[in-house]
Parts: sequence; C-alpha cells; structure tokens
Amino acid sequence: MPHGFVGDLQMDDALPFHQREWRVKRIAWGFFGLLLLVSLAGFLGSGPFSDATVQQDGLTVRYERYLRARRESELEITLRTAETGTVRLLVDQSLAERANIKSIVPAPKSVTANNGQLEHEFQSNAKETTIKIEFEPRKMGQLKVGLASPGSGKVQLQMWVHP
Amino acid sequence: MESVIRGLVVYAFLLLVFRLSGKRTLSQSTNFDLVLLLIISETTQQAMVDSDHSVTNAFLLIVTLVMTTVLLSVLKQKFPAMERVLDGRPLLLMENGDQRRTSMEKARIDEEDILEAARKNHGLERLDQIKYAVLERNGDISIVPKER
Repeated sequence: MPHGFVGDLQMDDALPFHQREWRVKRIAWGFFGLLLLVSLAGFLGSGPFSDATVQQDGLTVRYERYLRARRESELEITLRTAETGTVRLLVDQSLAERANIKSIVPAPKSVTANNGQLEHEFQSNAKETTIKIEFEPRKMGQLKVGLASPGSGKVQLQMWVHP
Repeated sequence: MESVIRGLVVYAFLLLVFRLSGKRTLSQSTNFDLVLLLIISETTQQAMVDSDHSVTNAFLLIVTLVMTTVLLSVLKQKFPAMERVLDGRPLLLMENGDQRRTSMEKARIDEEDILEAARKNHGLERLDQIKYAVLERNGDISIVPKER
C-alpha cells in the first residue's frame, strides 16, 4: 500500500524509480535494436555474414554458418571429376546424428556407413555434379561436418546452431 | 522436460520484453495494437508448442504458465520490491492541473491521450478540468477531476 501523498492523492511519487526505469529501458531498446541489426547481418540465421562457401580442389560447398534448431538449411555440394560415372561423397556421420536429413538430391545409389562417415554413391553423366542435402538441426550448439570426395577434395564445415 | 523449460523461457522473455517496452506499448489503445498483440500471441504459440501438438504438451505448457504466474504473484506479495520491478509503479502525469512534461514525454503520452481518458471515464471536456492524471501500472490513464 502506498504510504505517501501527492497533494490529496494517496500514491508514492516514485520519480527516482521511474528515472532509473527510463534509463534501463533506453539501454534495453538499444540492445533490441542491435539484436535486429545482428540478425539482418545474418549472425542469427540466413544473411550476408551467414552465407559461406568453401572450396578445395574439385569440391565446393555452399552452406550457412549460422543455423537455427528445427529450421531447414541446405548444403550445396559441387563435385568436379575427371571422368563421368560413379561419384562418391563422404559425409561425417555427425550430420545425421545432430540433424534430421530431409532430402538428398539427386538420390544416392547407395549409402554405406564407413568409419564415422556415410559414403554416398551417385550416378552422374557429367564432369560437374551438384548435390543438395537438406537438413534440419535438432539441437543448439556447434555443428562440425567434414565432407570429402575421393579425387576431388576434403572440406570441414563449422556451423553454429541457435536455439 | 523440454516443454516446461520452453514454457519458462518464453514466459521470462515475454515478461522482459513487455516490461521494457513500456506501459503504453500494446495497451490496445488502437485497433492495430490489438492486431499486433494477436500476431505476437500466434508467434509465441508456435515457438512454445513447436512440433509437439499432443494433449500432454498442451497440459504441461498451460500448467507451467499458470504456475509461474501464481508463483510470481506470491513472490510479489512477499517481496514488494519485486512487485515494483516486475509491475512498475504508477506515474503521475498531472498534478493539481499542471502537466509533468518530462514524465509525459518519457512515458510517450501526450495531452490527447489524457483528454481521451478524461472524456471516456468522466465526460470531461478540457484539460483544466483535470486535477490529477496518473499512468497506472497496466498502462491505463486514471483521471481525478477537479471538484466542480
């Protein structure tokens, strides 16, 4: 119950309290504004700072550095090979363990578990093959995925999954 | 367990954002405020429920939200300082007919808002008929008219 009076009005004139509150609010608004800018830049999901490409020899991977749990993302893998025919792609099993693999296009001919990696075999009639893996991270935290293709190259992706 | 944690996190976040946005934000003074409130509730619901549409999850979330509210009300009753921090305090906008300009500006309230409250609740016509105007903790403006 208020003990003070302002004129005839029984209420505490808590001006110092409100002045503190206004200062805190200004700081909070600044923080929220910063959060939006950080998000627009891509640090909380898709955006310019999130989009990344790594390349080694004939293997190029486009991916997002910053992901969100339970939101789909995509790895776009381009393999350049000397010959057409069977193309092999090795993906660290950590991807399947930490994320739901929604689709792989084109569909692999076979998938074999091989020493912590999943070996995918694709049939390709071109010297450049693009493979898209759609996945949905399950939990927040760092997600490291190694990708390799015998004869093309090997890359390591480091992603961060926001809750 | 995840449902309860999710409910608590969303509850805390909403409490923080609404507390920091100011009393008058989304106080439903315009139709658009109401629309915005509905959009926020829909967004919140999706984040809380996620993909689990089971009755168990719904029960858990409801109990989490209600029990958190009950717990906070008990704590607020026990610790008045906590009540002041969580709910804020009433803010005097007009004293003896004089406007407190800084308070009005900081609370983003203008004469029109005060006149609207005066018209609605007391049928007053002019500012000089108002003795006290107070911005209450829920964002409403209370008017005490001058004695006629």
